[in-house]
Amino acid sequence: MKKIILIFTALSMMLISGCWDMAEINERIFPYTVGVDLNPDKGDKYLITVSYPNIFAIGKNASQEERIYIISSTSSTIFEGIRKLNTIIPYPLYFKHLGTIVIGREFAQDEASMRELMDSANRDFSISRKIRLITAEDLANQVLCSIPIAVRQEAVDGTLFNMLKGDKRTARYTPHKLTKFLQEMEMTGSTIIPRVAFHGEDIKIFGGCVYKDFKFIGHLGEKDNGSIALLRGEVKETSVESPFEDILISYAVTSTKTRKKLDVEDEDLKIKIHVETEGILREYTYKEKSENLDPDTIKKMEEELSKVLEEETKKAIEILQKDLKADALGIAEYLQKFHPKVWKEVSDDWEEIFPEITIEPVIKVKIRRRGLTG
Amino acid sequence: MEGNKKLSNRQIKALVISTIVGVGILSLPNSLALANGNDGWIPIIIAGLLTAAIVAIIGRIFDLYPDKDFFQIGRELLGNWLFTLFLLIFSAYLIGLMSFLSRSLAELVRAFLLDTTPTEVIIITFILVTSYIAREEINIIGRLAYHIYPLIIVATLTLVIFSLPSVDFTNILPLFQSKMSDIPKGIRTSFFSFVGYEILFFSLPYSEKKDGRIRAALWAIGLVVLIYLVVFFITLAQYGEPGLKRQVYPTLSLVKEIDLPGFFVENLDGVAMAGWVLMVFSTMAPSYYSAAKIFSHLFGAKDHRLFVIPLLPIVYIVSLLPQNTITLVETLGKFLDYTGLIVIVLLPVLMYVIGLYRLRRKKR
Repeated sequence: MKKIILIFTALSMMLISGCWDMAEINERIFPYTVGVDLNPDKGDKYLITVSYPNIFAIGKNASQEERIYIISSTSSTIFEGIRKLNTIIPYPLYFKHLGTIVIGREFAQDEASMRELMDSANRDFSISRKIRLITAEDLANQVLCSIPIAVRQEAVDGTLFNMLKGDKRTARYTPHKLTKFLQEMEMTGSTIIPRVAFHGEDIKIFGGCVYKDFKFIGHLGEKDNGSIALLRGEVKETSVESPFEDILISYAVTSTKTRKKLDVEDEDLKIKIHVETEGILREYTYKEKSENLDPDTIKKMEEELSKVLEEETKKAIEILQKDLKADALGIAEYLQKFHPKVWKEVSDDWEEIFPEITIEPVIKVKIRRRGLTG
Repeated sequence: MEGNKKLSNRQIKALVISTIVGVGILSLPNSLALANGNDGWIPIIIAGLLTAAIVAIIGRIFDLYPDKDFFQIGRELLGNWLFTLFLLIFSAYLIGLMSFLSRSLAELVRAFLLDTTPTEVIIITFILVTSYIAREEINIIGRLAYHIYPLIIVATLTLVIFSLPSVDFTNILPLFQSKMSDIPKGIRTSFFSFVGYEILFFSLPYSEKKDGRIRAALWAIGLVVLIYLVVFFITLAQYGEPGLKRQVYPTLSLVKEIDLPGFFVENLDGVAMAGWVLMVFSTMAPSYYSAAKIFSHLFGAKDHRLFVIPLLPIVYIVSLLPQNTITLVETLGKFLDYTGLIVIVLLPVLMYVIGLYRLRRKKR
């Protein structure tokens, strides 16, 4: 008898149990990109755009043509906008795989909206903090709507996310995660996230947008973005050109090391940023006679290159200090961590002090390899 | 004291670790950062030392009176009335603790895993599962703990290894910048993450060997301190001080940060939650057992099994009393603070002092 009961309970556990709120994976919608804008028309404050892949258009037996769906709605809060979208789609939205948030330009200039967005994204249980942030040239809605017509980026979705994944061999833009954005916002008050626009037939990510106190305050060009990234130690691979004996040589950076150092001179703060780059000589010239490069030439090249880099970085620092007055280099963070006593003295008037301090880039270029020719 | 319900020293160690590490590990770094900023590790160490002292005191009590269990010693030392009062507070504390555990578990499981399952169902199923193990004797619970505590250690290690690529250890700096006057606040916060060692009252008398059992318990406290320190430092390194202050459950958020190349593992919060449910289970089971033991003693019953099921509705109702997670911490958390102070700090110290005094008088 006991055995029968045991078997019965075991069977009932196996056969009856299951998911009581089961949802098939194809009955869920996984958006990859969300765009937020201030509504350009009258009415509600925000314009929320969501793009998600059409799973019926993926795979061998695709039954539908359209690969990406883009839906949008206006609303008074961001969350409300997402909820409102549920009225026009067949299945609920799940944000677990959200990859990118595109911030419209006017939205980015409005501090209250930015704070609302950050709180909403950070409070949510399902949204990953690894999502990438990006600023649109104009409306985020336009960027999202251009994903399907972009010629060279015909991925199902996640186009932007793939471009921002961070293993790009360029320093023309530096992708940032949500965590990093919030961390720098709280530590130093400013940060840089990339800028996106639709050009002709491509989506292009270029340069940076400087944010200060959650608010967009200005653009950085591609070159300047590269220089700042170099000073922040975020460059993985990039290239540098420099004139050398009437021609341009090209140098590929393969690794960088950065170190900040504080010198206090007569009550003035002086920050030295030491950068050491290692790399490969990529382009020189096809010489008439074949001869090996001698160490002196390499040394001269290194000097030229570091001169170029120092000039470029100085220019970028000047933009940050004088034009934007935004400490996107993380000087405040450095002082807080390594010189808490100095920081205590300057923290109250950091706004005024930052543009006045001397920031000196010291760049050492090392050419480690020279390729196959002499 | 039958021979079949003996615990080995290793099981005692496992029991202490798995009982202490529970619901608090998810939010501890946050509350410490709020109290002490970057120096939150100081209170962990101090609270660990305090706990170790009390654990040693509990061990000494049982050394003074070998062959007697907690209830016999308590009655002898404190007298019938006072000890009964203490037991009543103890049981209230345990019921509060269990309610707190099951409600926190239900709220988090609901938020992260089962968002349409009613909280009540999660709480009921959780209490039912623990009631099954609470009906067993302490040696069975010891064996359970022995199988769960490696999981705690492995989980901590995995968390550290997986998050190493994304953390920035300079975030730990600057050290020693917080106000020393804030340290007591931090100690208070972290001390209640060490709650759970009261299981020693019910497990130490049943140890196989008399020597080395206190050392095992102290080792356990040491390991818990280590686990807490690792979790604190890794979350601090990930978020920095301001970020850590904002994350209510930094440990879980850290799991969500894990980003290994190739999309091989992502969104690990579900897995982490599953592991965490086991940790809470191994905190809940010994508490349930202790509560049933106390009730069986109060009513003079021989078997504690009788009181396991009647406790279920009480825990269930108390756990549903707070309106939301904030009032849960405000009301039940406060209640646990005060009653906990009485039963797990005051009671052992009082018992030890009286025991020592009596023994000295006897010698004279």
